[in-house]
Amino acid sequence: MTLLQRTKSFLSRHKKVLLITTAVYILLIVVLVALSTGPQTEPFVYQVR
Amino acid sequence: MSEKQPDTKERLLVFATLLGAFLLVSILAEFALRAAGIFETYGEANGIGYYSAYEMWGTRWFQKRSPGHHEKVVPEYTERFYVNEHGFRDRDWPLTKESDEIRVVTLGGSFVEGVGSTRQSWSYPSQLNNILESKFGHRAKILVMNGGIIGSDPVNSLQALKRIFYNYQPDLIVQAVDEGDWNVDIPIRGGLDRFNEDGTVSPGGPWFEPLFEHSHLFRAFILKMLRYKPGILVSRSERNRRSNEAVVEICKVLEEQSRIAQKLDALLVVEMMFRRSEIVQERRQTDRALSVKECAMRYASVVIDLGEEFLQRFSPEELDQLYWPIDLHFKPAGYKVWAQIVAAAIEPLVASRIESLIPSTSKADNLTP
Repeated sequence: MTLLQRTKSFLSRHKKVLLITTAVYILLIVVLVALSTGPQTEPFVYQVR
Repeated sequence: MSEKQPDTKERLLVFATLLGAFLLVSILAEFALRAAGIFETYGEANGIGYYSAYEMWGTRWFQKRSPGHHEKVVPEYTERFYVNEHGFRDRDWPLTKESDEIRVVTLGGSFVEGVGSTRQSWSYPSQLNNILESKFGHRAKILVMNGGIIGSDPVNSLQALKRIFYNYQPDLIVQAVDEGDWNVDIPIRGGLDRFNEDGTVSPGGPWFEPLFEHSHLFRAFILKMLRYKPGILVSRSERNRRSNEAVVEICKVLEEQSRIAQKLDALLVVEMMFRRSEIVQERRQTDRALSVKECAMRYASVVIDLGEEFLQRFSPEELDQLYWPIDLHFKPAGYKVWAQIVAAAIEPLVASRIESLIPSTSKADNLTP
């Protein structure tokens, strides 16, 4: 069995868990970014430069 | 039987694959957030990159710029200005005060300095000088000293007053305060006891700030999930605790300034400054703002609520037009109105001060046959 065949077989064996977990992670990021909890920038943190 | 059960190696491989997928998704998300400008800090949005609010860049007692001519270029405007020998955006002031001279010092942060005014003569102190001069110039010399500087809070202003402006014998000390003082600057830097012996300040930021600096995805987690605020980067409860302490510190500063004013036979004026976000988000008159105002009324001869004054003249939508949308400081038109408001509020004080210096009757009497 070549490396490619072994990888394919591994991915097909665990397709469900890999896809679902990754999808959940992506969803988590999207929700996190979309959450509205006030201003993102603090305009008045300055220093003299 | 044992062939169907995933062995430890197989499980590790699944775990490693998932980790790789997460990493890939994270990298893609990071690029997407950066490209869209989401979670940009104020410095990044204005083209000067990330900077830590916890680094004081050699500040000694109070902020100052390097003397000489400066040019500031930001995406929305370019401004050129002169910085005097003390590091303030103003002409050089003569130390000797003339007998018929009225001196006003305006203390505060970037708004007082005139960031966004685009011309030195359009800053609020310069315009205040012009208004007072046109009103009282025939009776007295007027000098408004711009003691505002970017990044300054009332604790710094107090130091500048003691170390610089005291020697110039101001008749009026005009201190601007705003919510950045009690919500950001003092909570980060500390109060009156913030200084090391040499006047430096070393507040020390949170351990994760380098991560915050470099990853927008991490910013998403910190700002949205933990509800931290950019700049201060501490938990909400800690932020509240520090902000409450900051209000007390500001009150101590005002008390000290009123003592200095008494020594100088001067008057203290406090301006309650406001920010665009306070108007847009309708969160003026918070408990802390009211506490500071109450304290100001105890120690100052006049307290000017600029938010109230501006809202009497403009609708929130019109007011929004007075600010640069990214830079978030006033445009020249905003500074002009500010100067008019302050001039109207302090004119009686200036008039009575002139009266005590040069009684008008003497001039009038001379003219009367």
